[in-house]
Amino acid sequence: MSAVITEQDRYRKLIETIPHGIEEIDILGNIQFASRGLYTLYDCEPGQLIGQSIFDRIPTTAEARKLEIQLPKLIVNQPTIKPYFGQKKTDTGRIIDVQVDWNYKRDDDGNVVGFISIITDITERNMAMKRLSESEELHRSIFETAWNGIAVISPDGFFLECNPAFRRITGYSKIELGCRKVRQLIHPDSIHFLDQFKKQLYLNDHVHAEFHIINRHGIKIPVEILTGTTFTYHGQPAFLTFMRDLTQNKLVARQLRQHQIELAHVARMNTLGEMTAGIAHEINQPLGAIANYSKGVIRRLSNSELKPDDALINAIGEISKQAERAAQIITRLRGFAKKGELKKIEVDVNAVVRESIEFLQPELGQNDITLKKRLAKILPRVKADKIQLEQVLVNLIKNACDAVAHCPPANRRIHVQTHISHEQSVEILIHDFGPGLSEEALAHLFEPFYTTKESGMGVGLTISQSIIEAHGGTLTALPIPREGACFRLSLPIQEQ
Amino acid sequence: MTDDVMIYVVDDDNAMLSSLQFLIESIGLPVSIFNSANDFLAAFDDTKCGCLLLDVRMPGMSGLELQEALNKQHIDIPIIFITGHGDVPMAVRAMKAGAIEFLNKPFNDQELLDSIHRAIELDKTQRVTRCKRNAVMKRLNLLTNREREVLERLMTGKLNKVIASDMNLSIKTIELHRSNIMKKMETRSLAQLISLLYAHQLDAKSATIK
Repeated sequence: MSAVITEQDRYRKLIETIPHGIEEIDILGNIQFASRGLYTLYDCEPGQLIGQSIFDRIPTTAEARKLEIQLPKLIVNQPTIKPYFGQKKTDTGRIIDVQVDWNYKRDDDGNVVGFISIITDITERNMAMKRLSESEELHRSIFETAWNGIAVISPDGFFLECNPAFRRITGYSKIELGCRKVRQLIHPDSIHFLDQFKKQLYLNDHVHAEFHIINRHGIKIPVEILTGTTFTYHGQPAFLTFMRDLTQNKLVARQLRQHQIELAHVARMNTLGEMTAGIAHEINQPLGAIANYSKGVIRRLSNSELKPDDALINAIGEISKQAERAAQIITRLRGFAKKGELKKIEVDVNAVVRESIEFLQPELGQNDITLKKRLAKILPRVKADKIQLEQVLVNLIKNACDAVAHCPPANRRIHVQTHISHEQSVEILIHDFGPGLSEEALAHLFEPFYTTKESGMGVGLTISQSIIEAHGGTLTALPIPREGACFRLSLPIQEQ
Repeated sequence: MTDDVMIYVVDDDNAMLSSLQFLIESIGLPVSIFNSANDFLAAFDDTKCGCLLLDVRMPGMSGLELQEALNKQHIDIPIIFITGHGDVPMAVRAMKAGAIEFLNKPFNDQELLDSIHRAIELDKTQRVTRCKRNAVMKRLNLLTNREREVLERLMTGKLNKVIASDMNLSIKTIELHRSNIMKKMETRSLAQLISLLYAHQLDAKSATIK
């Protein structure tokens, strides 16, 4: 007998230790037995549950009604049991998600006399599931809407999944990509990258590269690729690859390079012209002096009473003739290197200023220089050669950059201003906050071959000035007493 | 005659300066040389007749700027520009501002000397004109304000009696004023007075108002 008691005791204890709630109800739904786990689940004191109706635990009346109708049907039809998922209200008012695993309770004759249920709190589990699905949804939507192409690639090079952007860049549909390998998309000139890429992928976390792919229409497309290490995709290792279409970038870069080449060409031609003109001017001075002296000598000798030898007069005449000949050679040379005709069109000075600044953006960025623009809202158009004008502005702003590059950060500033001056011209002021110009520099600034820079040729400002003068304008350096240097470029507004 | 003549040469190149001096002196003209526009402005003597040989491009004040400065100060010395590399727009600008010649270095000596002679002649004429004009101006300044008012009306062709009623004065008074004007202006007839004033582009208001 004591052995039986012990056995019962053991079952009771076992039931009490189970964290799930266990209940016995009669056919009317009244609780006849409740385990300790159930009390904990329902936030109530032991013993309280006995005699309570299970329908009172259902938070919504509609659901409670449904269950109330269901219960007699179960007893009559006795269908196969399947867990019930629903909600319960605890004594403290909490609503918990539950899973109810139940079975029929029968008497010795096999008649249904009630139900036995095991009730599990699945609130936490449901929350976790919900969070997971939300996160899944977020990632999916990132994947679908990303501007960059994203693909999941198997270690043997098949596309397992790819987003719309990836399909847009490659031009292939999902199905078409599904039966293609990575290798088939790489342009022949980039195929050698692939092996390198694979090798690097084994050594690094991620690999970054730029190469060409060939799209569905056979067009070569420059792309940037970033591939991360393996992750598990449907139980298999896979690589995550990001792809960016560089066509637009390359196009912009090519246009920029083209523009640079054009500017450089103009700069070279201008430099050549200015150097020739400078040399011609320099040599013409002594040649002129030689001619003047010899002519003077001839006049003096002819007028004096010395009556000099004819041969002597001839020789001096020859000196002057040869000097003139040399001067003519130089004049011809100068004509040869003369700057090309200006291609004058109506230009928006503000636009040229902006383009010039844009052109020097790397220079400004590198030296941490702040450039402030104060451009006139309304500016009449002026007739100018756009490239030549830009050449001058780039030169002036570049000079300003050089002037402030080695200054303390507070002085690394340049102001560029445009406005209409009362003298019916458009003025551009370029003001830097560098060390400024010495008296000497101010006096010689525009002379050819004068420079304050170690590696300068001294023709930049000379060229700039002659370009602006050829436009009928002026370029001057304003003496600024305390801060930096300021150049004023003035272009006449054309008469209508 | 050369005593009151002076040829000024301004060029930043000293060899060019000395050689020009040597050349111009060889035809017997006195020369004064300066290697900057400012030096010239400081030493310039307006009492002497002559001309200015001016380099276009110089450090500091350029030749064109000097020309502008002289124009502003009403110094009308004839200017011959000389340049190492002259371009057309620059020459046009210089000539528009009143230069009499624009020569490229190295230049033909005869051409230069001819230009200098021409410039001296021009300066002389200008001076004579200026001198005469100043004399008339001086006389004009002798007139009283009342006399000037009468002169103004006379120049528009008004008769004495019209002027008298205009100014609310008697005809006798007007006649008196008129005779005083003639005396002060040293003219014998109204026609002579008017042509004198026209010749020097003067009128009753030109005189300094006292």
